[in-house]
Amino acid sequence: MKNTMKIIALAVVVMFAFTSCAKQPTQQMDAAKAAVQGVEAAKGEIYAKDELAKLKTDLQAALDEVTAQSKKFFKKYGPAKEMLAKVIADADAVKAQIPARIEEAKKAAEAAQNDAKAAYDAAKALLEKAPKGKGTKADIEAMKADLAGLEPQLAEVQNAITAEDYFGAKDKAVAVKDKAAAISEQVQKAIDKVKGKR
Amino acid sequence: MKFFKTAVLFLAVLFASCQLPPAPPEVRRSETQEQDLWRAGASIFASQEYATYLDALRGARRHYDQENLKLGWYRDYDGVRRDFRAVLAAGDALQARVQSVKSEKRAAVDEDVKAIRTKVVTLKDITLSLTERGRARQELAQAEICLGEADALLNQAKYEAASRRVSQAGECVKKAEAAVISFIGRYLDQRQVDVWKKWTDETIAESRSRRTIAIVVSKLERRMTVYRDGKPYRSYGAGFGFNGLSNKLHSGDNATPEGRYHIIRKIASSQYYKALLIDYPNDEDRKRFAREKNRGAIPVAIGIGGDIEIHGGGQDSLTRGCISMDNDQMDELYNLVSMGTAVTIVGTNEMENYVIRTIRKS
Repeated sequence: MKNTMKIIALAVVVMFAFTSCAKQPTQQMDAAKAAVQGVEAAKGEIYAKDELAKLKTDLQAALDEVTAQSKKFFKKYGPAKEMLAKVIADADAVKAQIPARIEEAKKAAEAAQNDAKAAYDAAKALLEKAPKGKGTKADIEAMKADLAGLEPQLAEVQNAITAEDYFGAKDKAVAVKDKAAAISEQVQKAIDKVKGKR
Repeated sequence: MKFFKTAVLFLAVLFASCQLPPAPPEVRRSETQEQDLWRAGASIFASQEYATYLDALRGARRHYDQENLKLGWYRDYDGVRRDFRAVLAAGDALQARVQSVKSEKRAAVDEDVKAIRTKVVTLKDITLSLTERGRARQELAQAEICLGEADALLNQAKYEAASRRVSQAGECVKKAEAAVISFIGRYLDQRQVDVWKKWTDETIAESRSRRTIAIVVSKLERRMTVYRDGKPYRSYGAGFGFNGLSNKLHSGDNATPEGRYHIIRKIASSQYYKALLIDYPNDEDRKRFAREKNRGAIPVAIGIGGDIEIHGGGQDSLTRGCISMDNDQMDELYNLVSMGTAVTIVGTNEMENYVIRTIRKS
């Protein structure tokens, strides 16, 4: 019985010694930080804004847990390690999604660019059909200048796509498309007005 | 046995005291609040306050951790809860502040968008009236694109980017204004305006002394005023040529002549409703044409042109140099005038003309 007691006491002492001397999971901490930085480097600020914010919060919580445990006499890094492992896994998952999101944004920008170009071409074709010469309404002539003003903006859409600013390119393309559509509508009204007076 | 029991009891108490109770609700709410604040853009719209909030949150969390470090019966979460309640209150205030800053920023950008849009509309009207279809219109179209982008960015709460687009739109508007002013440069020349004013005064004086009808056409204002016995009697809107604001120099320049003319023929049925033919070119026009031709400014094969009329067809039509009016007004004018009625066409009679006034006002 006495021996059993001694063994238990020894086991308790050994267990305490092990837990109190446990080392910080520095390798996992570095890996988790690198994983979050990897998401940032992969344009996570643009294409995974919310996920990146969550990752940063989770990373901070894991680091806080490590700090909290490091202050304890009986250190228990298991939960912190689990949190860090989750951050790494989540960061890898988010990072893996980013190329698809970039591709999606690119496709959306290119689709908007095509729409803008189509609206521009439609307005141009309509203007070419508009009556020319004496009696032409002044607004038809003005629309030609308006349309000419869209050309540099269409070029800027392409520049934005080339610079991989897909959201900016899309916004500009949509604005160009709306303006080109408005020009078409006004030209049609002016044509109708000319026809109506004949 | 006694030692064994004591050891088991000690371990049981130690185990129980190491077990953490569930986090107080304030702690859990603070996590959600922190996320909400980040999403709302607190780090952008109230960065200093957000930093203070984060400091307070970290402090509260440290306090919570310290309490957790204690053995169970020494833990006191009342202080922790107080700290987190204070953090939550600060977070709520910060959320309100962020919303307020965002509203202010949005309102400021909205106001700028509205002001620029008003200028664009005003300048578009002016360019239409002046039949300017070059640089000014192109700049205005670009300004409209920038404003469209600004609208989209505002809806995404990207106020800085929206503000930059509004600034770009403002630059385009400034360029458009400069283009308009350059387009009417001749109309801002005091000596030129004095000449036009002299023609107008002489025409009105003649109408008064001879008790006749006289017409004065002001191209910049697109207005035709009929004088009877030297007093304004009727006023109509008028349209001009593709290059209506220029002074006619030769055939095919699509410009409307400036000078003192007379009606030489009344045409009851013309291609453009009814028409009143005037005696362009007059002696002054011929002299100027000859001078410019000698200078080589006009190709040899080009003539001085003619057949300048006041006709119907609508004041919003573009002509090749004639003056166009709405048909019902043409009817009235046709009946008022007779052969020999004076028709004086000037650029404008005002130095501080409506274009300049409108640009200044907008």
